[in-house]
Amino acid sequence: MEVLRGSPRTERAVGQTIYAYHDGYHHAAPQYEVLFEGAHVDEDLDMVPAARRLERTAELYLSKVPLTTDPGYVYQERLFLSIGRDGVYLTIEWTSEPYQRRIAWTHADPHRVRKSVETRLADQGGLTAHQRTVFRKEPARLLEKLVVIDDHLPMFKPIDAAERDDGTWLIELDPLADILPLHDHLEEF
Amino acid sequence: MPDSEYLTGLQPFVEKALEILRCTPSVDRVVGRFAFADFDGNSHTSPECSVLYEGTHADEDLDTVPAARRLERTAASYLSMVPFNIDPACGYQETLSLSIDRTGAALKIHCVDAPYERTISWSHPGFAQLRKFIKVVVRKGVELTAHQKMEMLTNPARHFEKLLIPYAHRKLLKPIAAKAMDDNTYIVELSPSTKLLSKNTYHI
Repeated sequence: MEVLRGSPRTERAVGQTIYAYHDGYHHAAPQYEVLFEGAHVDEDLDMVPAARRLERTAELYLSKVPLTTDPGYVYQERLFLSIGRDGVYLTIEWTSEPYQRRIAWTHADPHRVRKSVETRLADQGGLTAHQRTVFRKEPARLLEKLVVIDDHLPMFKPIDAAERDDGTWLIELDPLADILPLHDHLEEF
Repeated sequence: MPDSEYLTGLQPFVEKALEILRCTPSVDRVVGRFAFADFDGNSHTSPECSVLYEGTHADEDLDTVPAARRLERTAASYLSMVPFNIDPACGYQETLSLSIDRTGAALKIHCVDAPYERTISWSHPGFAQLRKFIKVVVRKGVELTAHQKMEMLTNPARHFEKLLIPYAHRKLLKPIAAKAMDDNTYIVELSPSTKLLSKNTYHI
């Protein structure tokens, strides 16, 4: 926020993990970096002390978020923390699957978070029109069909679900659900 | 590529570093480097570029120095002009460091798997007092007598060919002085006209 205040043309600061190396079998450990989106030129931020401070300390903060980065593991995740003038969203993606979890909040009401999971169904296209209608009304029942998080999603307390054009589902979860240690539950998968 | 070409290309990096040293008296030295962060047992990955500051300052002191962030953001584009070998598929890989203090600068290229290093040093401003060095190790199986060791120091050109681990192009290096580091390792100063850093000069 200090960077955004010091540089009006910067619209968003994004901290992210990136995997710089892929040898065909696994990614190496991620690197943490900060990007600034907007109409500014990068040199504008040389005059904003908070920009360099953020770049130098980003790893310290971002590495606190529990995500799986171990190259020896079956899956690895990627993190984005995107901060605009209105609010923030923290997204964790699976590098090789259409699977994403997100926590979003506004600066005006930081304690009122929204949590969601984006994923796909185990049985692609296997839902009838009736089932789709039911699942939109009762998203908890949909979760049994999810491939990625099948056995464990009931604890995430879904409150809404919407199917997207690409066949993925966006499921909004109860704000009280503990969404980030999801990788612990994925271990069995 | 002649040495002078990439040395000229490094000049903006040097100027930015000097600006940092002027703005932050507690910083003694600015070091840009390409190093290998990951080694999987068979090959190194691509090197990562970083800028380090040596001195008694706190890192936060540099937040208010615009040149510091500018140097960090652009270091890779300058340092990558220097021809050194980073290919993990090659038999050897090198790391690079460019160290700048208030009196001068030194560009070092070090082979990660061998005690082998090339250095170009100079004084500010510009490239005054440009000197070139190579650290070499006596080849396996070659035993220098005490007399030869003495001669090596007084007339390095004569014994240079016995020392180099890499075999090719040694005659291009024009040694002018040598200093013994230990029985097997020598720092050999080369003529400033030597083309020191061209990729693959020292490896067949």
